[in-house]
Amino acid sequence: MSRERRKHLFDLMDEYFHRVESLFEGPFASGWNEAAQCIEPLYSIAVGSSEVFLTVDLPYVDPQQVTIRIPADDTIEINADTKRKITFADMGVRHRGGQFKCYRARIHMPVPVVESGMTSKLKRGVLQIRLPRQI
Amino acid sequence: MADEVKVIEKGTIPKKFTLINGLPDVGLVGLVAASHVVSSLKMEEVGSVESDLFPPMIVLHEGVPKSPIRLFANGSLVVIVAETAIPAALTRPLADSIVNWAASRNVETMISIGGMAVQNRQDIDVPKVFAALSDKSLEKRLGDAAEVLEEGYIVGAYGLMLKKCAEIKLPAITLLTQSFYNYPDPEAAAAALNALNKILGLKVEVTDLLQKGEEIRLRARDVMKRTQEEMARMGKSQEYEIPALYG
Repeated sequence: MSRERRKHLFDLMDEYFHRVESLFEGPFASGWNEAAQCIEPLYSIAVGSSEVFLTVDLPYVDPQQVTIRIPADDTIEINADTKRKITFADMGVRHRGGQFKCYRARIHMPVPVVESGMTSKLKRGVLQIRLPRQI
Repeated sequence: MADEVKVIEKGTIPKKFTLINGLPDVGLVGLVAASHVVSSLKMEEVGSVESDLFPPMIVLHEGVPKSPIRLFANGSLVVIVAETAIPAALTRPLADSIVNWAASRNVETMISIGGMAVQNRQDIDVPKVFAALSDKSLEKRLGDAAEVLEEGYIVGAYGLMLKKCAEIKLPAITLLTQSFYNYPDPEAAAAALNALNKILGLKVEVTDLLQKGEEIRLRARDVMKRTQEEMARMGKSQEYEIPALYG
């Protein structure tokens, strides 16, 4: 089986699992992971002809505590600590007791990317990452 | 279809008023700006927008069940704020219903607040405000508060409302501020409010809004996520395309 074919199958599986997840929305679908004390951030991906452009919304983030990993050519992991602990009570919600101190995201890339040449900047609390596409 | 969505009045609606719409859209600019107007001017709740077609939900505030789409009033100002994503399929009946109600109440001017996504938003210190008008004669009223939008698409409730207002000659302005597409953008909301202040002669202070920026972004995260799904369903990305015809 060729690499392209495998990629296609993984894409289909990924799509399937996302669809199943959306059918069974539960307390974890919101992205507030109380057990891990982490928030899944909002993000967006744009694919250009030579690079993938990713932005991640990280309010309250400590700019010194952001790490980016590329564990595979189709995956990016972002971990970022917040400047302080954030609780539901901070947002006026008293019936939930969670507190959060980090953002964590494992994002599937729509096309293969290479880590070398990656650039990133954090401005206005939004992390911007540019990743060269694999040729 | 418009009959399936109804504006229900529960309090005193002023005889003459300007209607401000803050529906969830790009960067939640309208929702954030309109909510800030409501709290800054200590507006009173005077009604809600109801429909059996809306998702079966209510929102609790201070222990009291509320409709997610509500009307607030103070003086000659009425604000409609929706604190939940509007299902794409209900965009048209909601837009029709609001305009029909506004026309029946002889609204003087309708001002809708929204965002206009720009790719380089991170590098913009003061977002620029554009305005789409129901009639060219409103340019004078606009002054230097916003730049008139001459060409382009507006996808969603605000576009439909603007067209309908133009047809029935109800003066309407849609303020579109440069913003992030799918991240709540309080800075853009502040820029929109500065424009609104100029147009209506209001004095809504935005310092507090800017100071609470991070808190607002986090609080509004879930509504933004839902709104993004609905924007995708209604083809919002067409706003970034160029109209084929001109002149």
